Amino acid sequence: MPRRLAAICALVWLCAQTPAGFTLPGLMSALGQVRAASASFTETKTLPLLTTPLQSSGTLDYVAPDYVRKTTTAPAPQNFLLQNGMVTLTLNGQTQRFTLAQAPQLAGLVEGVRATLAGDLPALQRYYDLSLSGRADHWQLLLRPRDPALAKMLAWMSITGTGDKITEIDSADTKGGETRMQVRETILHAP
Amino acid sequence: MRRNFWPVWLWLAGLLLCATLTARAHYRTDMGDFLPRTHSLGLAALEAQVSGGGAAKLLLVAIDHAPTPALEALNKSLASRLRQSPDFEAVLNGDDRSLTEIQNFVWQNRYLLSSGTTPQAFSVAGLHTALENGLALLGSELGGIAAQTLPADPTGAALGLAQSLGGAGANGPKSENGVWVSPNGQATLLLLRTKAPGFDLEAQQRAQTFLMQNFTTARAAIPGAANARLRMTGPGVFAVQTRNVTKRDVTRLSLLASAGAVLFLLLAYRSPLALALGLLPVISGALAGIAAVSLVFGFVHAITLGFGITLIGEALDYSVYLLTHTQHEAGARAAVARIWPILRLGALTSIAGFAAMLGSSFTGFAQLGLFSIAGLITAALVTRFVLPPLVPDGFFAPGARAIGTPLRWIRRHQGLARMSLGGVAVLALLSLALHRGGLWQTNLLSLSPLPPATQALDKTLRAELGITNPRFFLAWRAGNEQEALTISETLTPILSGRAAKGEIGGFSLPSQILPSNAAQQVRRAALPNDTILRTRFAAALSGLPYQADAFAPFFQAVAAARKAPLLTIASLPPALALRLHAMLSQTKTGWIVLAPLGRVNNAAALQAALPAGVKLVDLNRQSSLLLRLFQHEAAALALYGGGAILLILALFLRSWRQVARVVLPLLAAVTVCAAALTMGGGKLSIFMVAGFLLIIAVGSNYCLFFARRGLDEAALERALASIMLANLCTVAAYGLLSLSAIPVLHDIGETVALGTFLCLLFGAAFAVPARQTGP
Repeated sequence: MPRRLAAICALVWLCAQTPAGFTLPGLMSALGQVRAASASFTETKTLPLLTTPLQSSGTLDYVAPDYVRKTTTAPAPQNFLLQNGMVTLTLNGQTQRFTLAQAPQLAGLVEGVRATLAGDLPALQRYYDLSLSGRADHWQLLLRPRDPALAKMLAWMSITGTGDKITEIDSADTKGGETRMQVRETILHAP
Repeated sequence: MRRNFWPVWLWLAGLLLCATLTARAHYRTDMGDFLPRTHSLGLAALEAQVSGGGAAKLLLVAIDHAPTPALEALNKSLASRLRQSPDFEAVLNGDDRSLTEIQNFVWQNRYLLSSGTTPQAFSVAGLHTALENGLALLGSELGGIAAQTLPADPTGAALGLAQSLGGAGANGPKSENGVWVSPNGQATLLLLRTKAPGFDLEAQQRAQTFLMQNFTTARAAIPGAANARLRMTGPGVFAVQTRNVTKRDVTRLSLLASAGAVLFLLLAYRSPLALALGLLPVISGALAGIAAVSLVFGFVHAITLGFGITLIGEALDYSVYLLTHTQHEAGARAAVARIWPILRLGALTSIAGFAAMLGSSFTGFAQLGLFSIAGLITAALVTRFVLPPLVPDGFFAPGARAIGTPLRWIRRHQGLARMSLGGVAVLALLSLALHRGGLWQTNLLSLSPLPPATQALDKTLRAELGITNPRFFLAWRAGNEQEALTISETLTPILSGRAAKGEIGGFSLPSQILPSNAAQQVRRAALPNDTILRTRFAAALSGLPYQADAFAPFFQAVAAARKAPLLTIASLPPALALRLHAMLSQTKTGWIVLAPLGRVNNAAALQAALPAGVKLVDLNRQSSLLLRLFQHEAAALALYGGGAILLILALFLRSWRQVARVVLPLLAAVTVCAAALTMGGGKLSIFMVAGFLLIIAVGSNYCLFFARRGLDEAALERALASIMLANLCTVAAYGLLSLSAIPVLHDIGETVALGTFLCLLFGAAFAVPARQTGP
């Protein structure tokens, strides 16, 4: 994991000279224009607790500014819904509901993705230090937790995209676990 | 004529005695003491809830009117000051510490707390299923958290607890930077629990003063917080506030009301001495009333006090009648001899009316009945025996004749007056008959002596702090704490089943916070010893992609739980203890448990599924039941009281024509008054109903005076003047009371001012014998 982080940091440094016109506020504003999006995903989780990685796939739906739905179809059905600060999670045949305020550790994680999708810079900066690299057609946003509670759990998150589309979300927890989610947008509603 | 002063000495002695009793009386403000003594579980639950129940020690605090950073700093500074005070058992403000305390408690004690700690869960199959579920959890959004907890908690005990603890009424407010903030972000919040019980008003007031002082000190030290404001509610705050507002309104407004009456009296008497004498019956009556109630009931309710003094306002009329009838030559003793039969009859009818209240199951009503009876008897006797020797020789009321002018006018145009007032009465009957949506106020809060603004603030703060008053409760009685918890445990499967099917919303049970000793022992016994656990766990892991050596923390935790002492209320962190206490109310006979439910789709079906002794209480329904009981009683009281008044009038007047002359104008006046109060969809409060009783008590005196026959023209004019003056005082005094923010005083003021004025009009038009048309 440290090697991977070092690689990203090197990349950030290399790409420090971002072309004029491509800035964080610019990216955020472009992302903020997207009203709704749907995508399919495949996710690979590597955890020290497990001997083999966990593979899963399904679909993602987003409606600006705060509706995010992740429907896992394989290997077993799972449903994650964020709506208006409220999380509904269905797994193992049971449904749980709670607000993000009740789960502060999860809040940072979920907000990292939600606020990026919504182009909500202030919300992102509440939890993370941000650095942007790459070009408009291939950018990478690195999120490093500034919230102490979140930092205990999450080492970093990285969101890769092209234009106003997100193509990959990677993250690493502080206990050596890593998640890599590849996203292929199918429908995009932008002006 | 020799003046006989012995009644004056006797009266002075009695006054001294009553004043002593009044000074030593216990005054209560608890709404529960005003409600009926009852054995129904539903009503007992309502009473516990109305009196604040287990939550009686809660203080809800909001701080606003400053920039957010200042509010947050102020909240933290105040909380840390209060935490050092022995007056507060719990100080919660959403800081990370209280959250961490709960998390640690749940985590440390997960196996004793969790209903999932069963022999099956620790069998090979049970562990295998739990580990499979763990895989799904690791793959979910909660995976990051699960990866940290799973090695120590593969059975998911802590996760299950976190969910069950988040039942109805458990949703705390949103926390920002370690401080609770209101949903609109304008205020920061605190929830406090005082050490002193809610009914100890002195201690409650001390705690509140301490809170305010610390707030002021903390505010001075924080830049930008100069304008910050602290508002608080809660049963203790209300009790203290009610006492203070009642004190203030009863003294200040009563003073103002008296001033209004005094103005007219001065106009009529033109003598400060006569004015002072005129107040003696009322003052004596009030003292006697308080003394009687305190002797019989052992305490005086604040509502009795505020309300009772207005009820015996009639006593002011007694001295008005006496002093206005006093003639220059004949003096007060001759006047009292002439008017005493009517005064006595008037007082008797009022007493008969109020006597019906004595039998009420509402303690407050019974107190009011006794208060007014003792007060009126005293006032009548003082008017009869104490005033005449004190009125100076040669006194008469020079201004009275002018005051009587409007009544003389009505008398001169009696035909016109009868026609127009008759028309008004018919319209009023029509308006009452056509009134839609019920004539009665059905909101229990209308009983509360609190101003609506205070009630609204409480509602807001409760909602913001997540301690909303749920509508549905499960209620049961228990002899002791363990019994309360054991019954609670039998309910868990019933409620979880229904919650899973969506038939009820969330629920909170005391045993979710603290399981009974028996349940804890069973759970402890369900945990296998280390050797067996390791063997079973190794078998359960087969076929699953877990690192076998990752679960050492689990083995340690189970071994520790097998040796852990049982949990008690004292083991709970403050925030959880507070929630447990809110569900348990101690009564004289044991415990009443009120467990809140979120939403109930089918109340009858749920009740059928509950074990005997556990009742589903719908607070809305209970409070409307209570109000219906109240209305039935009020109607019964009015009937009995009315019957008694009729009987007494018939006995003394010995003529149905005369009785009709006195009673019909009263009925017309009350009808028009009720119609006016309910115009535009208004509702009658129970205080207005009591106001009607007072209208009848006062108005019957008017009509008795009006209806006298065989008076010469001069005597009749004196009678008209005395009634007009009495009514002006009543309208001025009660009209001013209607300015009070306290519903009791406002409603009674409005009703009585309007009603007695109508009595005057209807009495003058219908009760006064027609003018002898001269030749």
